[in-house]
Amino acid sequence: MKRQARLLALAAAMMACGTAQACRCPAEPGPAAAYARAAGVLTGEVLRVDAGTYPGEQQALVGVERAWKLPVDSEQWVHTRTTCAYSFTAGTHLLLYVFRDSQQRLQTRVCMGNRPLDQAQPHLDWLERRGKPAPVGSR
Amino acid sequence: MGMQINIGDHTSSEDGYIAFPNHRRADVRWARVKARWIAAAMPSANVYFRSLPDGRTLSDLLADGRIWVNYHATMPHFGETNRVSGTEIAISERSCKVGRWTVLATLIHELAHAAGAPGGNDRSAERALLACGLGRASEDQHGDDANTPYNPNIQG
Repeated sequence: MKRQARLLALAAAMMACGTAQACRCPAEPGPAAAYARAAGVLTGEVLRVDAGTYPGEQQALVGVERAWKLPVDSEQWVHTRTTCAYSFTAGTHLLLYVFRDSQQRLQTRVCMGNRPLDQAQPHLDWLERRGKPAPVGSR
Repeated sequence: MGMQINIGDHTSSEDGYIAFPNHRRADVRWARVKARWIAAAMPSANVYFRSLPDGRTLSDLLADGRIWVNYHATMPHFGETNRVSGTEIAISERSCKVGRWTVLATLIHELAHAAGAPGGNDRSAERALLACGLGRASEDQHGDDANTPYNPNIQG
C-alpha cells in the first residue's frame, strides 16, 4: 500500500514537472542548442506589451540588461506571432532567444528556449562560459 | 482543388514560409494523402473537427484551396499556422527530419488551428490527433508513448 502511494506520488510529481509546451515543439532545447539556433540572446525586463492584429500577436518593449551574439538597443522591441507566439507580460524579467525577420525586426517564439530569468540559471551559466557578449546600445 | 502544398507556386505572407524542396515533397504529399484517407475512413476525425470553433470538418479543410502548406527551413518547432483560423501553415525541416508520421501529425495539428483551435494552454489542436487515430487517450494518464505521433505534453 505504501509502495503504491509512493508510486502515485512519484507519478503526480512527474506529471507536475512535465514540460507543457504551447506549440508542437520537440524537446525543450538546452542552452547550447537554443544559442546555436538563435540569432541573438538577451536578458531584460518587459517594459510594455502591445497587442497585434491577431490573438497572440504581441510586440514587447524590453529594457535590455545583457546581450549575446547580436548587438541590441537598450530598449528593444521584440515581436511574436503565429500559433507559436510567446506570451509576454509587462514587468517580468526574461531570458529571450531571438531571430531577425525579413524586416530586420527581432522575433521570438515559444519553442526557442525563452524563460523567466529566475528559472534561467543553467542557460546563464552556459552563456557566461560559452556565449559571445554583444553590446547593448543606447536608444 | 484542395489544400495546396507550396512547391514554388505560392508566395506566403509569412516570413520564412517557402516552397518544399524537392527531397521533402514526397513526405508532405504522403501526409496529405494519409489525411484524406483518415477523413474518409475515420468518422471520428470529421466529428472532432466539426466540434472546433469554426465548425469545419477535416474533409472541408482538405478541400479548401485557400489553405497552403509551406516549408520552413529553420524554425525550432515542428510547425505553426499564421494565426488561429489562418490559411498559411508551415511545416519545419525539423519535422521532416523526424519522418513522415511527424509531418502528418503536424499537419493534422495545424489544420485544427486552421479550424479555430486556440493556442496557448488549450489542447484541442493536439487532441485532434486522437480523433484521427494517431495516438491513444491512455497517453493522457500514462505519459507519451513514443510509438504514436500524439504527444500529451503539447498544448497550443
